[in-house]
Amino acid sequence: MEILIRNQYSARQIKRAEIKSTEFRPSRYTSGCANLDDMVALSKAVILCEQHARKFSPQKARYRAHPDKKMRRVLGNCDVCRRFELSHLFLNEKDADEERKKLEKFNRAVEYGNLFRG
Amino acid sequence: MEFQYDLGGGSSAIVKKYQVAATNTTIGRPYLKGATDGTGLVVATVSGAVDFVGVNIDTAGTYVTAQQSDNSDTARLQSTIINPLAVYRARLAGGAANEALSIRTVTTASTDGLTVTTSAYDSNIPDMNEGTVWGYSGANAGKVRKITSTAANAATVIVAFPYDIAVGDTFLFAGIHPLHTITAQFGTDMTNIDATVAIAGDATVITVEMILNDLAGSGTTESYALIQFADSLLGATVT
Repeated sequence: MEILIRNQYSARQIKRAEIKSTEFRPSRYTSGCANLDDMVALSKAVILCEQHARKFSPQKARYRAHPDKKMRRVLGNCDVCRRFELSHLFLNEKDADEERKKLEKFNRAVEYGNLFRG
Repeated sequence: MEFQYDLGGGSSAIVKKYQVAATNTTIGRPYLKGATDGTGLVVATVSGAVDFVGVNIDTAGTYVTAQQSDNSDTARLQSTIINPLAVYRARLAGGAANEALSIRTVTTASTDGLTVTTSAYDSNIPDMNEGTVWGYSGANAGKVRKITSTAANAATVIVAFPYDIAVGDTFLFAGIHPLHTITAQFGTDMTNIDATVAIAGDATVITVEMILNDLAGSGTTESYALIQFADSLLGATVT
């Protein structure tokens, strides 16, 4: 005989229960993912190792790879696993746009300008 | 200013997140070691960069110290490039507020190409001696020389410009010069170099090279200096 219990919990109650049950264990609420979510919410630059960069969707988070090729890979601590290694750098769209404009202006200056060393 | 390359030969920027001690909403500012009893990194001053730490690539937001009513984190971290030998690019500005460089028009011809005479501009106030002068328009457009002496209305070079300097030619001036000059002055938003300030004996910033444009390359707004901070907290220090 099967007993069917109708689920009457709201999404909010389920989330609260999940947080409570995993309070002292790694979970999507207590692990580095939460740190990443905070970074994204605050529009901070995000550094992700190879493994976590694959799981990150910049478009969904309204982020972009740094427009300057030199800055797309930086040495830093991954914002999820905290490992220090050669990692991917992402900027929020607004900052990425600003950096792209600066870079385009500089590239134009280099192309036409005199590289002077005295 | 933005990361350009590392004099150590590595191509990667090293980025760390640090607490800062003041509100900042601008990217590309040089940051220094925190003060005693301070709470974090502090932005450099227009002419001071002792104990340089790095340049920020995101913003810290509003600095707070009191506990927040929603219990949100009060720490204000900022991603900072900390390579001690990093070279950064900074635009040359014609004043502290990031103005375009001023165009100086020649009023007396120089048939030996050694003197740039500009009756409406005194290159000795502030003194551009030991700085750089380059042609903006005219036969010497794009040609760059080091200024070796200045006087009211005139700047002199030792290595002659290749063509005679004619009345009506225009030139641009900057108070810095690669390697020989070891001081720079920042604009008030701390992202560009104020090229109108005289060279002084500060020695915390070295110009490694310059990218200088003439009229065709919009030189008044698109000329740059590539600089290195010589007094790095994490690397060699000079003071």
